[in-house]
Amino acid sequence: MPAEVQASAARIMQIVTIGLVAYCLVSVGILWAYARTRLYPLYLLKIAWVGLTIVGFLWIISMSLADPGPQHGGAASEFMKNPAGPFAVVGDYPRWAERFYAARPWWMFMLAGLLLLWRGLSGHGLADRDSPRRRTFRRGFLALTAVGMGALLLVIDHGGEPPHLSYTGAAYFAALCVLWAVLPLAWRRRLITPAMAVLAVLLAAPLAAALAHFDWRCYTYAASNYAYAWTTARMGHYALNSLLVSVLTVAVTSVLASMAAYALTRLEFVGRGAVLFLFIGAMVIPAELYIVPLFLMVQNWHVSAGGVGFNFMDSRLGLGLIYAAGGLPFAVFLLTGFYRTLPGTLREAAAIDGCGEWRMFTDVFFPLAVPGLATAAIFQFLAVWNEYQFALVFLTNDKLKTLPVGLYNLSVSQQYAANWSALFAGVTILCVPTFLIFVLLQERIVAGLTVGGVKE
Amino acid sequence: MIVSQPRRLGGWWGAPALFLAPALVLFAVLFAFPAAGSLYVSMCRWTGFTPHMEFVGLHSFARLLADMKFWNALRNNFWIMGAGGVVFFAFALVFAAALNDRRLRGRKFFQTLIFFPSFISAVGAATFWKLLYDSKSGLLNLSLEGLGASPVQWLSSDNAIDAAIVMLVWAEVGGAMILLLAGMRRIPKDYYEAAEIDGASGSQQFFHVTVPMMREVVLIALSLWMIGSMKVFGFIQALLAPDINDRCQVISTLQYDYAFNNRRCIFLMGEATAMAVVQVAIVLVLVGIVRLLREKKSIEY
Repeated sequence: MPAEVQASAARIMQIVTIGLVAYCLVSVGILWAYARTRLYPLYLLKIAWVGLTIVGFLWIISMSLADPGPQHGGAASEFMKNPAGPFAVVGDYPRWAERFYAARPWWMFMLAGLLLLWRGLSGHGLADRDSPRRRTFRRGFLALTAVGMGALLLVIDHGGEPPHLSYTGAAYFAALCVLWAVLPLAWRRRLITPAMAVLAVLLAAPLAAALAHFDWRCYTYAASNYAYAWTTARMGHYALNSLLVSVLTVAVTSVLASMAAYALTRLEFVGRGAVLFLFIGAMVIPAELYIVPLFLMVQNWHVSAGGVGFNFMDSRLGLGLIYAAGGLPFAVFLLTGFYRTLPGTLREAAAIDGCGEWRMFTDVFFPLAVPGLATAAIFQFLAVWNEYQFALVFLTNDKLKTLPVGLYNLSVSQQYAANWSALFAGVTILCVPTFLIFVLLQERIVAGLTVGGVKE
Repeated sequence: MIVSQPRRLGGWWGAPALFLAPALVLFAVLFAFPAAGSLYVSMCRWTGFTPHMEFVGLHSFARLLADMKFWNALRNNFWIMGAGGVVFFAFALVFAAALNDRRLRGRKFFQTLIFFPSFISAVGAATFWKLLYDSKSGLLNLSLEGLGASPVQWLSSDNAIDAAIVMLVWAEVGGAMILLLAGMRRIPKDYYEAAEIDGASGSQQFFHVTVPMMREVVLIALSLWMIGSMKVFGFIQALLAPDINDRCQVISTLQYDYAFNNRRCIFLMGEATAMAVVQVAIVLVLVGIVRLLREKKSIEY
């Protein structure tokens, strides 16, 4: 074939490619328009959003099982030419599958396209109670999809040689277009079965072939990766440190804030409003404002009591106290709100029984405030567990660092050591337990957030 | 009744002092005092090596005004707040609306997965995205490669702030969604029934009933976003460190760089604190404006 013809073919293919992208955007727009009043796009957006999260985490977890490469005790690592594993291999399936696929899509796309064209033009399978306008939208959308698939056939016919769209890419792009066309109908569950069958063959055949040829042995390195992250990269240490600091902070804040909130709501004294204002007002002060002065203040502190001394800097106790001080305003805010809801008659009854102020607090009000306290404690725990800025500044000894700082170190150091799998393992170690706890506590967190925010 | 009077143990201030003292002492020493001291430190010049600070008045602020890095960081913060805010609220509103619609299935599932990222630490979320954004083996570029497109340098100095906005929206949208959802659920059903009778479509109901009625909640979420985007630190630091390009700094990372980064020869404690003071001032002004908006007109339920 002469060079000019090849060049003009490439040009045509480029135009077709651009046209296809434009088609996809237009079809999305039409889909949006016709389903505007049905909240259908919202559903799709949510699926895309959540899909990103799920795929991202699945990818990270799968990579944390993968071969870390020869310099970190992996295999000679022919598997790891492309570290994406199956995700890359899908675009890389074996020869026979390619031939099979190259021979068939004509008919599959024709079939799907004709099906959609027929459905679109006849209006068959669309709900009868749809308004005429909406039916027109749907028909137009389906017809356009069929036309777009015809255009796709052109790309695939050329085997994706000159243009940017690769053969596999075009195939999956086509499959996505079909998905776009089919999903709104799935909503009505009429056309779903035949269309899904076509789609399944389109998607599943090469995927199955790829997975069958994929060398799964590269995913058997979980033990060494997690051991590296947990021991060599000290994630275990860091997790323990985080736990210690968080528990200390939560304990100190809970006790002090409960006492303060009790005094601020149930006792009367001069300056009560001022103290309350001091605490609530402090909520707007961010960490950045006082981190430098605090650092300058405590950097040379050496606290000693009863023969036991410790440097305030570089100690988990010191960091915990800093966190506790920082967490007090919010805890006091939340707990004063909660104490106010407790009935005032309790106090009278307890006073008649000869209850002193301290016992009134410990035996009557504190137990009743436990639900509110639990919310405050969860928020405090989370804040400390996730805190990064103070931990970065106030802990310099590597053995004392907390989990976020540890993960940050791991992520920075892997750029030089290139143990990716350990970093993936580190992210998994951080995220998976958090996810489990989150699922358990979600209701309470949502309630706490709503109370803190909406009833401000 | 006498018993309804508060009992005062150990004199007039005794009991309150007993209950308040521990919290107040801790709060004063490790929070209020350094926070107040920041004004003083911001007026000093101190490099961390000499034993004494030198009081130089507003010198640090003057130097900040001439510091292009500072202006650049401020611009980045405002870009995150503005451009990121539009995306953030669009998504938060859409998700809240979708979760509020009883016709959609799997609402609990979606709520969990959309809300979950705001529960991971900033460093965890940033590392997650760092792995996704990686130019050679990140998931995004691998997907692009699979589609035959050329890879994108997501974290180059041109793209990094926008990439960070995507990450921030992903990580933070859940909280705003929950707030807006709570606001939506408090709107009386009658309003929708009335709108239905008047022949309003779904989207008309959304824009003419739901949105105005949620003014209060939206403004709260807005001030939270403004505060959060002005003081964002861990996300940016963990996504772009160890070498953050000067064009991609935000105020907090620049402040950390000036005050604590070991690679610097000279620590600039005064400038760093002055920066924080400016930052807090901006936040207070913005939140104050939002507060005025809230008080100006709020709809009665």
